[in-house]
Amino acid sequence: MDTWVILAQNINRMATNKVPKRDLETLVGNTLRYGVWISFILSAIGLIWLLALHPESDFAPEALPLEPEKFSFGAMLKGLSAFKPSAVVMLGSLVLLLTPLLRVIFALFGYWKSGNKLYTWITLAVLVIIWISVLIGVTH
Amino acid sequence: MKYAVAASLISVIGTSSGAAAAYLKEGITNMKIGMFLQIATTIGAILGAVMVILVDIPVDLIGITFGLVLLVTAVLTAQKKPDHLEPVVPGSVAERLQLNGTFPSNGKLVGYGAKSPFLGSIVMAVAGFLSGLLGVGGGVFKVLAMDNIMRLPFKVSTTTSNFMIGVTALASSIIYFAGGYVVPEVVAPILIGIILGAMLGSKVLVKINVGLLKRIFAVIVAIIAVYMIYNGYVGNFSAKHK
Repeated sequence: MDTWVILAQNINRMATNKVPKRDLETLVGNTLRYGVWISFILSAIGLIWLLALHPESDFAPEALPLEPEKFSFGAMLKGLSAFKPSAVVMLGSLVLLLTPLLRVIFALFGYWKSGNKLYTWITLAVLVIIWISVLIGVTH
Repeated sequence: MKYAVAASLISVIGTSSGAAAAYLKEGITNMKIGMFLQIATTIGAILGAVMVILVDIPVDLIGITFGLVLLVTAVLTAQKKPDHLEPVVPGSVAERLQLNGTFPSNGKLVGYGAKSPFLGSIVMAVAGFLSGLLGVGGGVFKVLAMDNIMRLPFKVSTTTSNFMIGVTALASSIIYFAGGYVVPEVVAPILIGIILGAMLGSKVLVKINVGLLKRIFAVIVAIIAVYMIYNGYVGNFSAKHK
């Protein structure tokens, strides 16, 4: 529950705090914050757009297929270039997925630059596990 | 159910990332403990997602497990959390893994040690597994591992577990995402609702009694837990899928 509060405080802070700081932690913090914001804005635009196109539509959870079509990056890009609102929402979700990943990559650079070999390897291990997850997701 | 788990994981990443940004500035989060334990949580999370997507375990079983996890959450929320300050042991495994740290308290830095990093990892793997299986953050179990097993200071365990939740959810949500279980019509309203709800929540929180809130939260969670276990037991979840 604390999470909700901090998130909300962050959103408030984002609107008011305009002081630029240039250390890595602030960069990481900003990446996370912007990631959440961009994702929120994309989702909101996509949803309003969806509702504007199909105001009469009644979404039924039962209509979801048991075996869905696999996500395809190409299909999302096609959807974006064809101005499909659902593709905008998907992009929003993808941006959100990438924010924690960016954070791990930043940490990797940090450990590598400071010469901490042990943690460079540990962080690499985490990235490899995430990569395995991508492979499982794509191949099955 | 799979769509719900997927949408929930996405929203977990949203709240975790937002919260983590704030904690980082305060310098309490122990990035090294987080990174070390993340090896366990991400492996657990992938196994959890694989159980749902590839092994295709019965949804009623997922529902019952969810209910049991919620029951534990309710009990732990109602309890007072322990606070530890372990001395740094020279030559210990924790020291070789660089897990000991410091945090600011009353203007000075307080050092603390970590205990049983490997036992902690095992509990973390379970937390990750539940996260991938149920689409929850599993923060309660992560704090449990860091408080009760590794005996870290409360402030450190809370912030560090939050840092880990996002990365853990990422590892499992990739599998749901690639499998096509992230559906725009489901995810968009949930994400918007969660962020707006969080903004409203912070405004309300400063005016109300946190102890009372925790008790109300525990009761509501316990009711949902009983509801989930009952529905799973009589097979209502699988009935909805037909």
